Amino acid sequence: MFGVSFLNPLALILFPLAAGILIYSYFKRARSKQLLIPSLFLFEQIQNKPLKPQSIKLSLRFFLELLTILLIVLFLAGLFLDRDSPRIAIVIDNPLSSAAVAPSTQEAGRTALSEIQLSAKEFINSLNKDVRFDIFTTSPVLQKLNQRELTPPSAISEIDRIKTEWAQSDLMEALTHLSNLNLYSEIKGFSLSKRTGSISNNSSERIGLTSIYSDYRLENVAITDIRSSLGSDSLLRLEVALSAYTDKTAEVELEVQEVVGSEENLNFKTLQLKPVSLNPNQTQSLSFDSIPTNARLRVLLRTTNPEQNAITLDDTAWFVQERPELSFILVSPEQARDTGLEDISRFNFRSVSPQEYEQGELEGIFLFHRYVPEILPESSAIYIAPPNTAPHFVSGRTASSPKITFVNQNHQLLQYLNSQLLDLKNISTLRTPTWAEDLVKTESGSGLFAGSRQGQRVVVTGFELLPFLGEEDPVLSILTLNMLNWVLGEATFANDSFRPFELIRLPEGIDSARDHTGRTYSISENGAGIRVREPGLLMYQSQSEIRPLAAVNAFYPTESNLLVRSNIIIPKLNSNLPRASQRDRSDWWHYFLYLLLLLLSLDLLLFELRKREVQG
Amino acid sequence: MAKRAGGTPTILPDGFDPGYLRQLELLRLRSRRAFLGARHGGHVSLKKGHGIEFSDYRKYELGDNPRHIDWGVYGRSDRLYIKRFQEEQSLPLLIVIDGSASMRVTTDSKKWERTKALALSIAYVALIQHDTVRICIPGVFYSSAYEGPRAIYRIARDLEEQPQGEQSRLSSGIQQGLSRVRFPGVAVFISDFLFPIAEIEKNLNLFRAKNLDTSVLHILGKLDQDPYQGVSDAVLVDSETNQELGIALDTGTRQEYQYRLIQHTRVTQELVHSLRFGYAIYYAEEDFRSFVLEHLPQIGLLR
Repeated sequence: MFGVSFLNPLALILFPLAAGILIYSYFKRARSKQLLIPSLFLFEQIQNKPLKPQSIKLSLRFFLELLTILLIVLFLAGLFLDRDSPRIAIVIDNPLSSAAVAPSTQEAGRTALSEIQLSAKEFINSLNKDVRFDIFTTSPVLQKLNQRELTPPSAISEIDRIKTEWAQSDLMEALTHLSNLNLYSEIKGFSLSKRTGSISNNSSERIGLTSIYSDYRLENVAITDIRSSLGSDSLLRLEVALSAYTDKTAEVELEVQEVVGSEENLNFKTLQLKPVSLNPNQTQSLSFDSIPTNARLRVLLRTTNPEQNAITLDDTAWFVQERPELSFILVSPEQARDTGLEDISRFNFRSVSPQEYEQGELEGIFLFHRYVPEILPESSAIYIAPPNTAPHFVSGRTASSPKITFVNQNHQLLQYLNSQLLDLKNISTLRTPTWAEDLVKTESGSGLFAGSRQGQRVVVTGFELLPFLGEEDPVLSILTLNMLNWVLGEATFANDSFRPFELIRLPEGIDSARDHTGRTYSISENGAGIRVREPGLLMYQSQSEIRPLAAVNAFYPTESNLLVRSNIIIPKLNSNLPRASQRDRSDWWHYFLYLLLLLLSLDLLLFELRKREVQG
Repeated sequence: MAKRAGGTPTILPDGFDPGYLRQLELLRLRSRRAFLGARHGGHVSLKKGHGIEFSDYRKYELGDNPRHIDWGVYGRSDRLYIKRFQEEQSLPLLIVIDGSASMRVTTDSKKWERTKALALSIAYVALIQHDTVRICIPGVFYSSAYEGPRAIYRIARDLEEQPQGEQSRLSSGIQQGLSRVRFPGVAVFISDFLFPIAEIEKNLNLFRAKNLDTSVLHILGKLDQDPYQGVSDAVLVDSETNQELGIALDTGTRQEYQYRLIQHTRVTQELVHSLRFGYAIYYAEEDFRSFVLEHLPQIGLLR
C-alpha cells in the first residue's frame, strides 16, 4: 500500500497558475493571429454548419503540455510515496572507546565495536526484507556511509566495514540531527554505553538506542600526559602520567621506545620498561631518566594481566623533543675540531674541505669558513671571514679594529646581541649585493650583511667568528647561534601534541605533512590546516632539509574513562510513523525527469506533424 | 512612358511592352450584336446609310439621291428601288471593375494589379480601333469617354488614382454607371464574385436590362484559392467588412472551403451563361497577356 504526500505542498498552488497561463496562451494563440482575407463569404457558409472543433492532435498537444506542467509542479511540490516498510537509519557509535576489549576470557580479543556491529546486524535481520537502511557512523563526525539506500544484506556488509576512529563522538547530537531531518521512520543507534544528554525533538519517540556491554564494567588505563626535562646528565628525563579508570587495581607496564628507521619504515627499540600498579581512579606519574636527546619516542602501555584488565586503544603516546636534528655542511680549510662548532649540540656539522666540496655535489645548508666557492650554491649558506681573493662579496680592503658606525638592531639576526660589546679585530670589508642589507657597518666598510638570494637565506661576515667559544665569547657566540637559526628559516620545531582529527595548523611555508604510515595530508579547510586520522609521528613536508616533526596522540578524557555512565531515557519505538527519505524524493525526481522528456518529445512530434499538415 | 498634362509621368503596368501592344493592335473588339455608335468607326452599326455591308432595299421616294437607285433591279422589275447599307460606327465599350476591398486586399496585391492590366488591355484594343471606352468603378469612379490610342495612359493613371470601393455599394454603383450609358454597346464586368449568387444575379441583370453585350471576367487571386497562408489557427478578417471569424484551418476546413469555392464558381459560370454573357475565369497568378491574347477571343470579346 502506498500513500501520497508532498514535501512542499505550497508549490501545488503553482499548478492552477501555470495551467491558467497555458490555457490563456492557447486562447491567445488562436486569437492573436489575424489573417486578412478577401472575403469571409465562403467561410461563413462553412460556419453555418457547426464550427469544426480543434483537431485531436492540437488537443492532445495541449493535454501533453498541461501534463508536463503538472509533473513539474509535482516535482517542485516534492511528491513522494509513503511505504509501509519504513526507512531506518542505523547509527553506529564508533569512537575510540568502542575499541575497548571485553574483559571476560571467553570474549577476549573482541572489541566493543564488534559487539555493536553484531547487535546491529541482528537488528537488521529481525526486520522485513523490504526495509531499507542508511548507515551512519558518529566518529569523528556524523557521516553517512552509503550513497543509495541499502537492502538488509548490503546494510550488513556496510556495517562490517566500519572501524574505530581515533576520536570522540557525540551520539546524542547525531541522533538529534537525524531526527530533525524527518527522513526516517525509525532511527536506531548502537553504542558502547549509555550517553549523557537528551534529544530535544518532538519526534524523539522514533529514536531507539541499543547499549552494548550494559552488563559489563569496562576498564581502562590511559596515558594522560608526557613531559620532558633535561636531566643532570644532560640527557632527557621523561615523566609519563597514567590514569586508571578501573574499579579494581590494574597491573600494567609502561615501555619507552625509541623510534628508529625512516618514516616509511619505522622500527622501535626498547629503551626502558617499568611495571606499575594502579588503584581505581588513581593518577600516577612515572619517570624515565637518561633518555637520549634528539630521540623520537613512543610510549607504550600494556597490561600484564589481560584476563583481568582490558585496555582500550588509547594506550600509545608519541613524543618528539623540542628540536629535531639539523645538519650543516661546514666547508673550511681548518680542521673541524678547531672550529669549536661541535659544542653546539642542537646542530650537527658535517665537515668537508674546500677540495672535497669542489669535487662532490653536496647538497644541504652550508657554512663556508674562510672559503667562498667560485659558483655560489643555490641553498642557504653562511660565509664567515671570506678571503680577500674571494670573487664575491669582498671589496678587497681590510681594516684592523675598525670603528663600528651602524648596527641594525631590528634585524632578527642580531636579536639578544649587545652590540656595544661587539669588538671586531680584523675585517675584510664587504661589497653588499643588491639582494642583501647591511647589518653591521664600520668606518672602513660593511662588516656584516644578510639577505635572501634566490629564495635562500645568506649571511656573510667580514670578520672571523670561529672557533666557537661559547660562554667565553658570548657576543660572537650569540651572533653565531643567531646566524645558524636565521639561516634555517626560524623553522618551527614542533613538539606539539595533537589528537586525531584535531585541526593541526602547519607552519608557514609548509602545506602538507606525512604520517609514519606514509599517508600524506594536504592542507585543507580553506588553508586552515590538516586533520590526521590516527596517532603517530607526523613529519611536515617542506622544500628544504628542515622537516619538523609533530606527534599525534590519542588521549581523550571522556573517551578513556569508560566507567563513567549516565542514563538517558530510552524512548519506546513507534514504527508506525511512515516518512520518506531524501532518497525517495530523489528517485521520483528521476522518474519525473524521464516522463517529462517523453512528454516534451511527444509534444515536439505533434508540433511537427501539425506544422507539416498546415504546410501541406 | 507618357507625360501627363500636369507633367507627372504615367507608366503602363508591367508587361505592357511594345511587343504586347503590337499584339493587342492586331485584335479587335467584337460584339455579338450591332449597336448604334456615336460616330463613324469600324463596326457595323444599326444605322442604315453609307457603308460597305448591304442591308436591304427601299422604294425610291422623292428626295432620295438618284445615285442610290439600283439600276439593275429597275431593269429587271421596272421599279425604282434604293439600295441601303449598314453604316459602320464606333463601338462603345464600358468596362466595369469591381473595386471593392476584396479585389484590392493588401495581402494579395497581384489581384488588383492584374485586374487593371486586363482592363487596360481590353481598353487598348478598343481605343486602337477608335472605339469609345468608359471605365466604371462602381461607387468610386465613372469616367467620361476615352478616345484614341493615347488615352490608354489616362486610363492607367485614372485607375491608379482611384480609392477602394465598397462591396455594399456595388449594385447601386453599377446602376449609376449604366445610367450614364447613352449608346448601348459592349460591356466587360471584372470581379471576383465573392458575394452571394443572388447578388451576382442582381448585378448581372443590370447589364442585361441595359441591353449590353456583356462579358464577365471572373478573377481569383492567390488568397481566394488558398486563404490559409500556412497558418493553422487564426482569426480570419474580412477585407470588406473587417468582420472576424475564428476558425481552426485544419484539413477538413480547407477541403470544405475548396469545395465551396468550386461550387460557387460553377454556379456563377452557369448563371452568366444563362444570361448569354461571355464568361472567362482568370487566376491572378497566371500571365495576363496570354489570357488576353488567347482566352478573350475564345469567349467572343475580342477577335
